Amino acid sequence: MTTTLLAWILAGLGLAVLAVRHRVAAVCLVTGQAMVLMALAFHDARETGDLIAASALTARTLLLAGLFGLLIRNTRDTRLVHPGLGLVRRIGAGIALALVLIWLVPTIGLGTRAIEQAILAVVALGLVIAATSRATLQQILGIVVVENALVLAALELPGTSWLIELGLAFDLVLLAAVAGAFHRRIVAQFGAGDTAALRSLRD
Amino acid sequence: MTDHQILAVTSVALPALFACLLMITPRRWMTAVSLASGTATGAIAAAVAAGSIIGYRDPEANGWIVLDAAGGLLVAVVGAVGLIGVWVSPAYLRSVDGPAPRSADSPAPRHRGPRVYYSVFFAFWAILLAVPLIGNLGGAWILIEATTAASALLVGFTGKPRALEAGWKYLVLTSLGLGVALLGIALIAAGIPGGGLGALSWRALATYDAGQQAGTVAYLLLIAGLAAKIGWAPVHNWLPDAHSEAPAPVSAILSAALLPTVLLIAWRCQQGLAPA
Repeated sequence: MTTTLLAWILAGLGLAVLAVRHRVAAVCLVTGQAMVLMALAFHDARETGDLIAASALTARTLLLAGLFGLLIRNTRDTRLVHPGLGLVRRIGAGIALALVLIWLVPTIGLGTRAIEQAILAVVALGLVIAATSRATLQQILGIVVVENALVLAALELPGTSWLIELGLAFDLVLLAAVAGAFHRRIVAQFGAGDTAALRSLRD
Repeated sequence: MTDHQILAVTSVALPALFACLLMITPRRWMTAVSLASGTATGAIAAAVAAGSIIGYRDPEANGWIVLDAAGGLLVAVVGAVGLIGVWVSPAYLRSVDGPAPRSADSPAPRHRGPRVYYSVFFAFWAILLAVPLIGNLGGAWILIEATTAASALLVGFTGKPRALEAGWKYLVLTSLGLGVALLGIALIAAGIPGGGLGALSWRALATYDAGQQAGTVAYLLLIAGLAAKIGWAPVHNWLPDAHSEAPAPVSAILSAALLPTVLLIAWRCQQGLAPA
């Protein structure tokens, strides 16, 4: 019951990330998702390996929060970055894709069906966040939201190795660091983290 | 571990070590050190490949490493393309930076371009050498994701607007694709008895027992995700831009080494799941 509730809180936070425009709010919401995962990992920890996996998630949360905090502080947009789609369309697309994924993917044995649906919903929301945002930082957050869903899936898998959790955490922090470096260079080059400016290669 | 397995681990550890070494190498020695490092890496990769191909009748596999003919072939390709890339990189960097100053009174320009380039190149090469050798689907995904991070930095190396655009597009599209692939891997792992790291070894995939429908969905998600990384239509948008804006040696390694290596993983999954 606790896990199901936390899983749907994760989905709710993902929906909120899709709705907000302010990047500080979006980062706080994604960090909130990571903290929910951390709480779940510690709640379900039974063996030493589980504690190591939970610690890896803690480190991941802290590093990502620090990284995004630094990015926000050091890259001030000189102009407003408008979202690619209006609020209603964004939320509609997120919910629609979530429903499609839930309909397509059969029961797979990740805890209860409700938890599986929450995982698929968060994946869908992350994909839509990345696809509909013009702001580079929002696109990075979309990727992190997708990864958060998959961390939840990994936590629900029986006997998941702490090495896999550690590897996933390391990979995401590395990816976020590289994306952050790109974000900084894009802001320095174009005055804002706006992917609409990255169109010189389009046909 | 057998001698061959130790050699395989060395073929990955060595370029990773050189990547760290090149971060602290003085600029005037960088070309020589990179060429020597590249040659050593290429030689060891060739030895690993030869051992795997010649000994194709007796492939080796434990939870972490697999040494078979298919992997050996890809190690040979990655080793060769990486070595050629290292050997032509000095000429490429000279074309980007201009000729080195001849006067002893005027010091060399202080910038991190070559240092960052070589370090990230060797790190990328090390990860790429590990992919055909990894004996586990979960480990393979982690390595492929790491190649995305390293290669995106190389694609955007010149820092020009078009390179930034190409690198950003590559980073976002392939990361999202790999997220979808990871969902497929999670579904596969859920259907394998036992759980743990061993559940995702190539041999263990044959014990998948969650039903054909779930297995098909899981495999399709995995392939759809890897397709973004391989550059198959319709998720290929990043490929022409990334390959054209990347430095020439990097473009070569992306085309000739990275894409076939990811394809190898897709093939191993198909072979592993086929009995189930």
